[in-house]
Amino acid sequence: MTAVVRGTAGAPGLALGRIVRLEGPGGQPRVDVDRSGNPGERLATAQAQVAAHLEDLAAELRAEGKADEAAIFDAQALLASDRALADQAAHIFADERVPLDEAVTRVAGRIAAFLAEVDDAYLQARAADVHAIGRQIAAVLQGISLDVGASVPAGAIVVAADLTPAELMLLRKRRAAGVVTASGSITSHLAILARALGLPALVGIGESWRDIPDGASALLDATGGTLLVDPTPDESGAFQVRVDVARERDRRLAGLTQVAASTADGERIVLWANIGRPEEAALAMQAGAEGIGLFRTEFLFVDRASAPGEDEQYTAYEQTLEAMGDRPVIIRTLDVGADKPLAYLPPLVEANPFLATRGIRFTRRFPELFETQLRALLRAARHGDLRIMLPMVSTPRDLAWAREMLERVTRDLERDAIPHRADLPFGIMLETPAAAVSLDRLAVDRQLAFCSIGSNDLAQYTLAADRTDPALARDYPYDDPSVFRMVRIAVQSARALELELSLCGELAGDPRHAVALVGLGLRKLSMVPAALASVKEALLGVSLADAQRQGEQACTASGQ
Amino acid sequence: MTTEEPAAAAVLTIGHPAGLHLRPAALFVRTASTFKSRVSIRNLSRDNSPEVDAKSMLGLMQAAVSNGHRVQVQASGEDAAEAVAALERLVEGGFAEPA
Repeated sequence: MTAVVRGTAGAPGLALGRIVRLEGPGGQPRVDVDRSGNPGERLATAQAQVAAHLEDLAAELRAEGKADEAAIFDAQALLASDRALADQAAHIFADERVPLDEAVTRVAGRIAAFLAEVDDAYLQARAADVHAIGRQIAAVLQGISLDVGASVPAGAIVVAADLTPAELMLLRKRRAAGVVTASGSITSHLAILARALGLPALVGIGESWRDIPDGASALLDATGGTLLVDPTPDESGAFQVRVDVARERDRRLAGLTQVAASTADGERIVLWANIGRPEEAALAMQAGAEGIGLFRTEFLFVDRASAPGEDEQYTAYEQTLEAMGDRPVIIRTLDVGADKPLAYLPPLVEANPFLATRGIRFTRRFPELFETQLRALLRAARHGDLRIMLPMVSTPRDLAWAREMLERVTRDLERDAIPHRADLPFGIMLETPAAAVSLDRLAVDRQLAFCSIGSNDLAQYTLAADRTDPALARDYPYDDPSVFRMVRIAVQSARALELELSLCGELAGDPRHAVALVGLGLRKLSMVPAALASVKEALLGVSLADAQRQGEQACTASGQ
Repeated sequence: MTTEEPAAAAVLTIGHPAGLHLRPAALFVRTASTFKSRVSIRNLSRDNSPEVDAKSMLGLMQAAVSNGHRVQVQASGEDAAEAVAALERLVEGGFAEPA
């Protein structure tokens, strides 16, 4: 009988193969160790051996141009040779008379347990790094080879309680088809590395890892987050077709990343990426983005005890601009509401947060937040093509308030002779029906340099349906004809006003909808980096006239 | 700390999107380790956070420094002032990787 195991998609991809279980050190070759020496020296030697192993792996990744992933191993090597680890293990060894490897495991376990309790997802994920180091040093002390992959044949789907990033590197060398682990999360280094290596990884399957039999045939759908054990021939056949199609598609799309986007008949379309952190800019570039159409800045403000300072924000913006060179980077100012309370501000009590104080309304309520962000933005703007975008603007008053703040901040920076740029393009997210039908009022006196349609919120406010409610989202979908009609209205008035218009939102990342949007007149689309190549492919395959027909259809289709 | 030794201290605000975590922490440890002085830090933004060795990655991890946290850096030894100044530069420069 087929058994289905569910987990988290650590690294997407499909693989079909036989299960190989890695159950701790049992299957690994042993080498003789001399346990007679001075414990301090034995520990130091083991630490140095693990550190050297990790440094080799870092060098290997660096040679492949994967500098960010190499840095994971650099940091782990430093952790392996850590002197606090040596001191604490030596204490336990002396006081409790346990074997040296046990002492190391205990120190690592204690620190990992502490990290797992910290109120910070990033630090929690580092518990796995500490465990990994402890395990590797303990293995060397026990005389177990670090070469975990020795017993793994090519094409295997490796199942383990946990894997260290170093072990993942070795498994790749053995040409494993994919990995499945009981522990791990999307932010674990294992998952980050697996994504960089293109190795499908299903993580966080929990205790069910114990029930997966060694040698069973299995279908790993790391994209969908499932592992099928002992599939029927029909299931295997259908899966093999998916694997082939995906492989062919990946090959096709990889060839498209650096090609300029246009329709089949040469109408040029600009494709930008949406990102939420500075480090994603490099990813966007690799995926072929011509700029950043939406840089969400909430990551700077949420999950912390105090508001981010001006310098911290400046650093994040500057990093992003540097990564993008002279390409445009549209940075959206803070966009939160009562549904995402900030610990350092008085809570807002509102009956309906989505219709209340959010986006620009929130910053109007807490102007000091907006002022600090504007100062950081104006200072960072010297490093690239920065454009400022305001969320949730629905009336000329919102915009006038923001412009006044901008003028004030500019005056302050000038007075204090702080280097900055003041002539930045200033634009808005178009996400309320009010804004969509009032562009002429908003754009008066050249106050506005550009607009970007935020199609997710525009759909929610057009349909008056909460998009976080699955039942409502099914009956009032984000691609309802009314949403496309709203887009059409905005395109027509932007054209009459000669106002630059783009669209960022889920609509742009769906190839079929992207074609319809181009058909309705949009020439700039911004989406998640992963969608860029497939949207480009769809556009390259359609004439402008066909796209226009599909745009009109999207405005009239009933009950999709 | 012995009183005869030179000592220096500073309070720094960590401005790195990932906090004082693996990669920025590695830079911090490497910088601190280039000095002879004893260097320690304490996280002022967490209650009861221990004073930890700034030359140890595990030490820094136990300080659990998140983005925006304030840390007290203390050094004692012949090059204490230089050590604190170097760490200050590292933090204020946003942990820019040395070229």
